[in-house]
Amino acid sequence: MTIPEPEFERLVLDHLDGLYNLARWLTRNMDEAQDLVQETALKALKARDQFRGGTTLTAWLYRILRNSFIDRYWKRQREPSGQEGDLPGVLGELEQALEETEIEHLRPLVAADINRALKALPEQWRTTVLLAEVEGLTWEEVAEVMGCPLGTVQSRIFRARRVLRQLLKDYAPEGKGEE
Amino acid sequence: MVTCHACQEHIPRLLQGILSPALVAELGSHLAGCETCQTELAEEQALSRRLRDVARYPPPAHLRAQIAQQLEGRTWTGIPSLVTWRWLAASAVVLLAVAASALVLTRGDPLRTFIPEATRNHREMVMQYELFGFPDVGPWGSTELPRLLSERLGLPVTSLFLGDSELVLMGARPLLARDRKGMVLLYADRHGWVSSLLLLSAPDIEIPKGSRLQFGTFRPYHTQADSLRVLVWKQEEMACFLVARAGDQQLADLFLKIRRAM
Repeated sequence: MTIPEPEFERLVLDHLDGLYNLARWLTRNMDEAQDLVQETALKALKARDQFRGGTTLTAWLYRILRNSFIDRYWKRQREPSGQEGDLPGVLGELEQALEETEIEHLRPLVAADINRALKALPEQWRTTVLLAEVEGLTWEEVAEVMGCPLGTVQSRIFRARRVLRQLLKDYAPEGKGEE
Repeated sequence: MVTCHACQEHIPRLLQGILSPALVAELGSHLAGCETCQTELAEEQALSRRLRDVARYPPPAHLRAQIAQQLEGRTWTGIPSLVTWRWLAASAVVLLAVAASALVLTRGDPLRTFIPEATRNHREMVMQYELFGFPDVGPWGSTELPRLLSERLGLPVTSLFLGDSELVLMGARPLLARDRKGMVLLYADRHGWVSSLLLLSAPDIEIPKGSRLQFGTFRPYHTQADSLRVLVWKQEEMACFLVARAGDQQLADLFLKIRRAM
């Protein structure tokens, strides 16, 4: 059943914080993140008839946003303006390669804080962790957004957490309880 | 019999709450007697909390309105049918009623007027912090802030929370909110988590008795606006608005630090 348009608009706006946060992490740019969220909202509204049960609206919206980001990235790669690399290194060959690397082969980095540690992760790991840990999506929903099997999500989360802890180990104060 | 390796493999799923009760019980038995796995669990929990607390960028204040406008613009393209006109007319009546009641609320209730001011200033300060940072709190130095607030702005301030080992006073900015003088202070922790405190001369603000939270001996008014938590309380003729994106415990700790110092 199609959600009525006013109700759909409200639901989209209810997801604004999370969508913007992911957009900001993906683009690393405030203006581009805003553009991406606006594009996502309009695409979602336009395609709302295609939204079906079997997935949640949350997962569906995040998936539109991430796919839009990937489209933009490849479109920009094809532009003859010499703008390759404007988007900060995501989904590039290095990132794909990092997917299979071990911790000690990750790019050299002193993790001054968790944001820097997150930025050091490959995009697919980072987005997986952000969706699951920050936005509170279930692993099934994350799999839907990322377009991958549940087992891949589990594996990425497990490995990403291990890397994050490794990067943050020296940074975390001794015995400091987290609030 | 659960081994340490199996237990640690399961911890992310345990935190996600997706394990069967039987397996949770098995892991619980193992964890009760294994310090190594207890440490592992504590570190995983700490990482989850840290991720939730800091890995978040709030959207700019105008984005919600901008998108709502865009969505509505898309909805109303083309020539509306008679049914649509009727719907529009009915909507206009509803919108007018909502706008009128909002006007009454904001004009008749200063608290409701200043809560959006507090969140807007919070977002502006955060944006300024993200874009430019703050070299310090101003040429006067943080220790001079209470005197400045008292002498220059006429606010009843004798002392302020000027930071500690966990939270740093990053910046302060004077402001005029509806012709009232005030100051907004920005605090940040080492992870980049920020909160702001708006101090405003507001003798006419009355804090409602309901919607209070109990923190120690204090009971500030609590509300949420645009996913930000806002605590409001009065000290003499000054209204204080504490704004942060925070969980309950984080909000309580922040409030008590700031409130006890004043």
